[in-house]
Amino acid sequence: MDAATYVLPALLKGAWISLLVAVQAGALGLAIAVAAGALREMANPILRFAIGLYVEFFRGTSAFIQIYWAYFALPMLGVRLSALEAGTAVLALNIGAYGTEIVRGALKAVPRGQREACHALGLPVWITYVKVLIPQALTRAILPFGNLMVDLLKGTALLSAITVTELTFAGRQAVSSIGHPFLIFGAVLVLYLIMAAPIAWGARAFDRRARRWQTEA
Amino acid sequence: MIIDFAYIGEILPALFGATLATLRIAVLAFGLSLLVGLGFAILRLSKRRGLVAGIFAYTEFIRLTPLIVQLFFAYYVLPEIGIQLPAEPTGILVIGLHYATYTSEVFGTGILAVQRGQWESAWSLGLRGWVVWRKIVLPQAIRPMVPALGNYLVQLFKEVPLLSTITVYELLNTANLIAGQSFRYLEVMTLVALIFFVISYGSSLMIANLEERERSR
Repeated sequence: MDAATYVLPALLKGAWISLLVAVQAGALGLAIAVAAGALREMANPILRFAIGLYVEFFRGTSAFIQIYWAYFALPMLGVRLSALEAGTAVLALNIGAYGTEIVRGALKAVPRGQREACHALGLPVWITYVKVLIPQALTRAILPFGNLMVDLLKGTALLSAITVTELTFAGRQAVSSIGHPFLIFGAVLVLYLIMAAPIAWGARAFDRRARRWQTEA
Repeated sequence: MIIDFAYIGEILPALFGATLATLRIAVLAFGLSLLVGLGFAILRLSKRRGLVAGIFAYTEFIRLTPLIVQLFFAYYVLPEIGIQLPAEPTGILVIGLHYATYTSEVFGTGILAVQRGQWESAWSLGLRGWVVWRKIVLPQAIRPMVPALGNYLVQLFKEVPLLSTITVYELLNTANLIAGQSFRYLEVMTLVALIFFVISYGSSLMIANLEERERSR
């Protein structure tokens, strides 16, 4: 029991840092996703191409490779970020890239008739978006965004490879100092499950309710 | 910062070899995930409640916890319970069992999409059990699933670098070793990112093409 009293607080502290990273990267990533997703739908071809490049690049390489790049290669270009900063920035840019596609898909999924009806009623474009299209798109985006947030939370574990003392790192440290990998990594897994399950299940429950009144194409 | 092309030429053969190792690991892990995933899908269609609940719980647990922690868990715990497995097979096993939860969903949907009449005709022709699966249902079910499975293969490929954390010399770990000697992280890590991008973006373009053809059939 001695071991537990020493290890558990360390793991909980690690879990707290994982959560903080996820919240920060998530907020930043969502902002990028909404901006890039909406701009990609309307703006000029050059901007659209740039956003496409950003999305494909981040989706085509993995977050793990990008974290290594940001932490080891970026300093050689004169940009020195701490491990925590590099990791959080990479995760945010990843969420932004995947989120951009979700926003675009959700906007596309709102039936055309909704847009046409707004036009026929003479509503201004911004009201069409703010009052009609975005609220409907949001209901379709909740489930994929929930899944994305679960991926983000799991993605914070990658930061352990560049020495950020989040949950996974805390678990590895504890195992290397006192052993008991089954108990400690088991506890780490359960802690991730406890953090991720409410997000995943909440998003699913919301989606089931939202489906009842979604308009079909 | 001047990029040294001679140096890039020098390290390319080693990176190429490591890329092949990464692809080999990805293919083996994907093969395992197909076998196990198909098994899960077939078992889930059986009406045995305990089995179905067990597979559901396994799927949730695997998907709501980070792959990297699952790797650590297997790598440290398997030897403790008497299973001595080198790092690479351990990694293949963990990734394969992880992605089985995704492929099983694709298989499940594909199998359910085969029309009921196909089963009934097979039965009325006197075909039984495994023959119906192998000769009638699976051949029809698998073709439309290929794009979805292909996307999971690309996703899986991008996760192979996680094995560097359990000492497997795939692309990222090899690159790290090379860069650690020359301290040219910029060139090496950028090359690694480019290799991943070319392979996964190229494959997803091919898959999108396949999907298009499948849809127009």
